[in-house]
Amino acid sequence: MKEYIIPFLQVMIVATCFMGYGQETDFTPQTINANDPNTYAGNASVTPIGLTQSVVAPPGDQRINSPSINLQPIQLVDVEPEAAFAGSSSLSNVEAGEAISVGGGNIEDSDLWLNYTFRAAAFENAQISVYSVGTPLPAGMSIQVQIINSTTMNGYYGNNVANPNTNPVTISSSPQSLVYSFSSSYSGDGIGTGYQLKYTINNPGMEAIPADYQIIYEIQTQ
Amino acid sequence: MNNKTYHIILFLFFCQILAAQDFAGTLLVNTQPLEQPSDQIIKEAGADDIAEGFILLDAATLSYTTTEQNIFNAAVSNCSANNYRYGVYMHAVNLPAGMTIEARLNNTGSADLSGNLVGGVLATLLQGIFGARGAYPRGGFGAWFEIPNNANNALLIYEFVGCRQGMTLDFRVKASSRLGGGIINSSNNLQLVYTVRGKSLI
Repeated sequence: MKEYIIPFLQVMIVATCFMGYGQETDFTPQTINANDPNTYAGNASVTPIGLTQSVVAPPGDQRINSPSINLQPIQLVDVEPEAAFAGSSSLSNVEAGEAISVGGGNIEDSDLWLNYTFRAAAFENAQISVYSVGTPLPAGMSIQVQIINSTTMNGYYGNNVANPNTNPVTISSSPQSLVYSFSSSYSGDGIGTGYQLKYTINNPGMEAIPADYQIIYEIQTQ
Repeated sequence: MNNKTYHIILFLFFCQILAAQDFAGTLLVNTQPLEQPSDQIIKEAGADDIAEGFILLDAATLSYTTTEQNIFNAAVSNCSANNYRYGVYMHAVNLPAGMTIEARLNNTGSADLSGNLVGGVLATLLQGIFGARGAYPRGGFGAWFEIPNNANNALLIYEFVGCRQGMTLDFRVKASSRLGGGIINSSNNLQLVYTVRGKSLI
């Protein structure tokens, strides 16, 4: 009889080791209350003779790190719609920064939208200015731009509402404010969001715009 | 050695194994600064940078070791005997509004096998239950999990078996353009909390 007792005890010991195993499956639970140490700090205890009193979860641990966050500043501005343009009496296809060529007379166009995305390097505000570069316009010729509408569609204007300068601005080589001070924000991308621009080209002399003439929109920090 | 002596030794051997189940764990974590690369920002004017996000590979390195009390009540490192399965959970504190952080397991690290003489036997016994030593990403490699800003629902990112060193996590950070640039944590005091939890056995 006794030859069965010790093997039986051995089997029972091993069975005790595994008792209850499989109560959880892999990748469960998927959430825990990390504020409660009981959810991760096991409490297995050991008897004086070395036998565990109960088989429970092996203890875990918790660590806290405080990494710094460093985000890149962003200054993007664009005029929509985007498309190449040449020789039309409309400005609707003009890409910001590209050369413009127009016919004679007075031309008005209100189908362009100014979009921007701005993230400050720190917490400074910014403005959007407009100016020209390249060969100046011929004498008697001028280009005005005016914000006639602004909308927050798909955008976020931050704590400061975007402050459009609704007065007509005659474009020159000196930067002039088209949008006044605003904080980190974005206008939404595409037509119908941001600032609707109205261009007026006065060209009584039927002159051609110099080939290297460009209108620049620029985000300037303050 | 007669049979009786042999069985007594075997009995004590299993007692030792049982005694070795008090695995007090020590987690070490090193998290790199969350710095946005200059080439991982939004490209289209008007769009929010949160749509782009940036990925930081191997942004956090984790190691987990255990100690136990042997039958002489001495604390000893015993990673070779520890073959249990653990879950790694994460949550954030003071995550800025307009920012999300996702995590995934990248490098599974290596097993820490420093330990005692009986570890190999126990490891063999338990391997069929907890799986082989290793690290296992939830949802498979490449799956991202958004770290909640809520300690009550810390989220499981991956699991591992036994002691391991050099396990790394990738982070994908999505930050709105309306968040100011530069180092912003000084005002937000972001904390990433890593919790390792042993599998419940009863």
